[in-house]
Amino acid sequence: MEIIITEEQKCDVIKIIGRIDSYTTPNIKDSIQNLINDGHTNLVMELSSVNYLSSSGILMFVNFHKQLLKNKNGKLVFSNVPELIYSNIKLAGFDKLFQFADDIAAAIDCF
Amino acid sequence: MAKKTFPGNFRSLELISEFIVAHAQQAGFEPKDVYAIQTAVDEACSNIIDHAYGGEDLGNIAIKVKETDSALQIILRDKGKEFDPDDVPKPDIESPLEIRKERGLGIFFMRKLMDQVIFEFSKEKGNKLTLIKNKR
Repeated sequence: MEIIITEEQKCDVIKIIGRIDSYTTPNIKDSIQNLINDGHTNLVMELSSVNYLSSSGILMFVNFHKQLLKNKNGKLVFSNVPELIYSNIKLAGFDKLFQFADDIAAAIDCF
Repeated sequence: MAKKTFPGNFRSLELISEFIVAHAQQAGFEPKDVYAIQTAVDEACSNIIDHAYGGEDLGNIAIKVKETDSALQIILRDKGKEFDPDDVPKPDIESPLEIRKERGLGIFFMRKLMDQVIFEFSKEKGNKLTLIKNKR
């Protein structure tokens, strides 16, 4: 698993490569939490190169989104979510809670 | 039939997925069903490590994959403490985000994505979890 963070004008794009499962989730969680703690609260999660997302990964995103909404200072937007991964997010009922953009440009426009 | 035993830690999850995906593809499942089977097994193994063993590297996960004419059957065995799925609260997938309790999503996925999910426990052999996906 690899994480590439790119700072844009109004948000940060976090590209994750590989699996998001119980093994990799703690590292991803630390990276995102560090960003938030440094005041970066508009986050685009770019998942085009993610080949698996477990329930632990989904719940991590839900908790970050909650944290950002609660502090009313940001949000988390998904971009390029592969179809199979989206279908599990939908199965868990979280499809209505997040914004999904087809590409990075559209995701950046959400801020 | 194929059999493989993996150490009960989260590093094993990727290798377990590769093992399962290869057999699901070989059995002729379409990508959507291969991903469903992969998800169910990954969630089951995470539960074994978290709940049956209560931590990493406290025992193994033995996996048996059996293909029949009509289905793929995956049997997971561990020597951890009895896992009672009824002890895990059902996930709340309808409440507003702010008040939702996030628990039990792994078992929810297993039940939604597979055709049969059977939990068994014996004092001698430990937990046995059978996951079955029918061929269409």
